[in-house]
Amino acid sequence: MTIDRSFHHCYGLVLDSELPLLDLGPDLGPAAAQTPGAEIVTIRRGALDGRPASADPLPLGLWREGDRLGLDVPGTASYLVRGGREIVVDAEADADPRTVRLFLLGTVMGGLMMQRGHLVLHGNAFRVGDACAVVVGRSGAGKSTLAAELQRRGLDVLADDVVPVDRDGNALPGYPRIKLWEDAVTRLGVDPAGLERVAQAVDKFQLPIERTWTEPLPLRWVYVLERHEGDDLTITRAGGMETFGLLHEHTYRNELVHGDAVVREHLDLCGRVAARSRISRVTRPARLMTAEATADAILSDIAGPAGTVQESA
Amino acid sequence: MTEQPDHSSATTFVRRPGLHAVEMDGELVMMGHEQGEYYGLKDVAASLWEHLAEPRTAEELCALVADEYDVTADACRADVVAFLDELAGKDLIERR
Repeated sequence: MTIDRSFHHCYGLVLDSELPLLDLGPDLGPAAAQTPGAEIVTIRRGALDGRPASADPLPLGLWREGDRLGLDVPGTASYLVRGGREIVVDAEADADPRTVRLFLLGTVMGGLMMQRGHLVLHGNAFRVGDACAVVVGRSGAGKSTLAAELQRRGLDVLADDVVPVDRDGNALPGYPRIKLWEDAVTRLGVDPAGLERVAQAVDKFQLPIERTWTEPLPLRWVYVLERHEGDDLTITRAGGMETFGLLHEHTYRNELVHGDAVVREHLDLCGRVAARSRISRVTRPARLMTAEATADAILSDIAGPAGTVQESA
Repeated sequence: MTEQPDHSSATTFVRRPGLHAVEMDGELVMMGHEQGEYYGLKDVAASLWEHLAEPRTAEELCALVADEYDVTADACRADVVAFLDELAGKDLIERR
C-alpha cells in the first residue's frame, strides 16, 4: 500500500509530506525531491508519546530534548521535529485538519527552521529590488493587513507570519498566502466566502498571493509595528541593546530561545542581522487603522535619506 | 552570602568563561549568567569588558581607561571599582 505524499517548496526546502499542504499551492510531485542539492524535510504521520519525562518543558506545550523538539496541542495533535529534517504528526482522530496544519506550518516549521540555524522572526517579508524588508510586531499589530496592502500595490510578499533569516542575513520566502481577519479581507474588496478559513470557526482566512520572486533575499530593513495614543506616525531608528531587545521580542516563539547553546546561537544570529540591516520602530496611532499610511511611511523611509520620517495619519 | 570583591593591588579580575557577547551598533550585547538575562555595555563599560578578557588588576584597568579616555587614573578609579563590583555581583567576572 502506498500513502499519498505531496511535494512543495518552502523556505528553500522541499517538503515531502504525508499530510496534504493545500496552503502551499499545487503538488510539485516527487521530481521536486530529485533536484540535485535539494534539502528535503519529511512530514510523516505516526504515533507519538508526548513529552518524555527527561525533556525540558517549555511554555505553550513545547518541549525540547537534544535535537528533538516537541509540541503537544490537546484536542488537535502532537508534533515532533528532529534534527531540522523530520517532522512527525500524531493528529487526534476528530481534529480539524486545518487546525492541525496551522500548528504544523506555524510553530512546528518555525521550530524546524530554528533547528536549522536560522533566526526566525515573527513578521512578514516583502521584496525591495534585490533585497527585502521584514515587518514585525505583536499579534494584532497589523502585520498581515499591512502585507496585504503591500501586495495590493504590486510588491512581492515573501512570507507571512514566520520569516526565517539565514546566517548570511538572507530572508527565506515561505508560503504563498497571507492570513487575514475577515474585516481586513473585506477592506481589500475580496469576498471572504471564496477563501478558506485558517481553522474551523475562526474568522481568519487564507488569502492566496501571487508573487514573481521565490529566492532568498538579503534583509536590509526591519520595521517594528507599535501603537501609541497620539495622532502622528513616526519612524525612529533603534540601536545597540534596544535593537537586540526588539529582535528578541519579535523572534518567533522566543520561548524556544532557551538553553545555553540556543541562547548563544540566537544572540549571534541577532548580531549578524543587526550588522546588515537597519532596525526601526514604526509608531502608529492606536485609534486608526492605518495600513495605507503605514505602507507609505515605510516605503518612503526605504527610498529616502536616513532620518526620522514624520507624517500625519 | 555575596562576597565583596577585593580591590587590593594584587587581586585580578577576569571574565567568567562561557559568556558570550556580540557587537550591535557599537554596543556589546552580552548573555548573562542566568537564562533570559542580557546586558548591554557601551563606551567605557564595553572597553573595560574587552580588557577583562585577560586577568587585570583594578589599577591596570584604571590606567587603561585613563589612557584611552584622556583622564587621570584617580578620576576614574571610583567608577572602575563600582563597575567591577557590579560585574562581580552579576557573576559576570571572577576574582583570581
